[in-house]
Amino acid sequence: MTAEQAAPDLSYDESVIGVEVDAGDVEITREQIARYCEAVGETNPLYLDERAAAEGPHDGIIAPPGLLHTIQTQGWMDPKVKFGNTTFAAGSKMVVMHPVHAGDTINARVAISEVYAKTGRTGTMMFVVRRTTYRNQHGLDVATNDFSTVHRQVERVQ
Amino acid sequence: MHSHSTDASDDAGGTVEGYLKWIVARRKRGYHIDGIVLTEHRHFDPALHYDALAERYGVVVLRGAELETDIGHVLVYGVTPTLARHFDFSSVALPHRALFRAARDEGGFAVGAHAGRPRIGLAHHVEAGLDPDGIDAIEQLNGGSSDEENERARQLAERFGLRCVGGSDAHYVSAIGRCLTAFRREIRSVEELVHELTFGDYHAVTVEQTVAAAAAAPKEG
Amino acid sequence: MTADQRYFEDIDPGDEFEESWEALPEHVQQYVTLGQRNLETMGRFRDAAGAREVGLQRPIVPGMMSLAVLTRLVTDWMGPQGRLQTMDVDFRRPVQQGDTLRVLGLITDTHEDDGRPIVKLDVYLENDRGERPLQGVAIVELPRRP
Repeated sequence: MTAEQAAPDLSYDESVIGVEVDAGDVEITREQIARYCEAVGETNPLYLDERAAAEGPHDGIIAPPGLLHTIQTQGWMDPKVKFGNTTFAAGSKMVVMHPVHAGDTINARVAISEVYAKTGRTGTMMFVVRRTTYRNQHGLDVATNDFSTVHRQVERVQ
Repeated sequence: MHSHSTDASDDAGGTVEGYLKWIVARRKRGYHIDGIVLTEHRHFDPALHYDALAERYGVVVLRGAELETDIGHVLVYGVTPTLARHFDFSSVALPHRALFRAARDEGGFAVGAHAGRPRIGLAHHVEAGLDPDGIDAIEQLNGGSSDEENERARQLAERFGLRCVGGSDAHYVSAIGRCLTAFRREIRSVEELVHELTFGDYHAVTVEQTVAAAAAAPKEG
Repeated sequence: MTADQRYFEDIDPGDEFEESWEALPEHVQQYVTLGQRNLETMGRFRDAAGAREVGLQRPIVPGMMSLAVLTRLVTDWMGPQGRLQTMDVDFRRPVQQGDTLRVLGLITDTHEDDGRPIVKLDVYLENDRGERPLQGVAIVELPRRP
């Protein structure tokens, strides 16, 4: 029974915690915004209608907040979690400070902020929390996102 | 009896003040909710106090902890410095027999949380052969569990004569008070809570049942 | 989407609003090609065989795509002058492709923060099995009625 199973290996590389890495720059284009809107069903004129957006509070087309989550980032530190054979999204806390305009270049910096274990319906889980800070070409932080992934041991379904 | 806040639980979105405001709003709609017990995951900070908030909103706010053991999650009421010293609360596999015994010896009370859930509820482990000796009470109604899981917990309680509490397992404001524990006597402190859990008369209820109870008995303690 | 403006004076704790969302496989395929290359390569978002590799019966929706739909609910509701400050969610279960979900918002608190009118909402997705795969809190600043 569960109480007698061997304890899982919950170790990881603690040296990566807090080490911030530059994960690259991306230009946010109108086409990219339009593609994103189509995929997630956005029809908001602030994102899609140039004239309406120009008359709106942001003087032009802005990106939906969630578009930042689709930016390709690279070069994160790896905490080398030993537990589990796959990962799933576990949580996201996004703080929006300023709108992202079409034409902005966004720089992403990523740091692992926390690694911890807990148990749930599916058994033992290990969580890795990664903070991304998004900054525009004017040096203004536009948003942060604390994204956590859960490492789990799963059985393949036949 | 079972709630989590942004103050200390990684997966909670509700603030303590948010919970209290929501309870005040629920009372206006006829629901009977006297108080809450914060049971943060794997954590108990003795320095945290909510007396001022409790007084402002007229809601009792007590504190316990939800710990993780080799037979699932356990709610501990009456956490003492000795208990916190003897057990690593951050562990996800505390020895359950030692924890239940130590809670009792230290003047506290431990309850098997969301007892009907797979892996992290007591029923799963009893079905696998565990003897629940030393466990007096389970959370039979849990606001985050399915009806099927809560029924599994009810059957476990019936089979072993366990006492039953109800808890919302709230992580978000709108979930607070979904499941509760109805005590015969009024409770204003953790000491009174532990005393009633040990010797008192109580049972698990849903928030809808508190409306019916209030209608049947205009004055309830 | 509506361009209607929501004002702080017009809302109360307990107010609810909702939309419906069908998690169509073709939209998922569009989403996974938007930028993050690792999404495109993950079989769980592509087909049943890929899902089975990670213990799932059916292909699922990327968590951030479900979050985008939940965010859309809030930004549509608040109107063009509203400002989304925070979106804080937990992914509790996978959203399965082909599911039709309720996308819900419930106002839990209204208050002023440094003179700014702030609204807190519980937000969640609910599938037809009664499960809430995604649940969280949104914080929005709304304008006052002129």
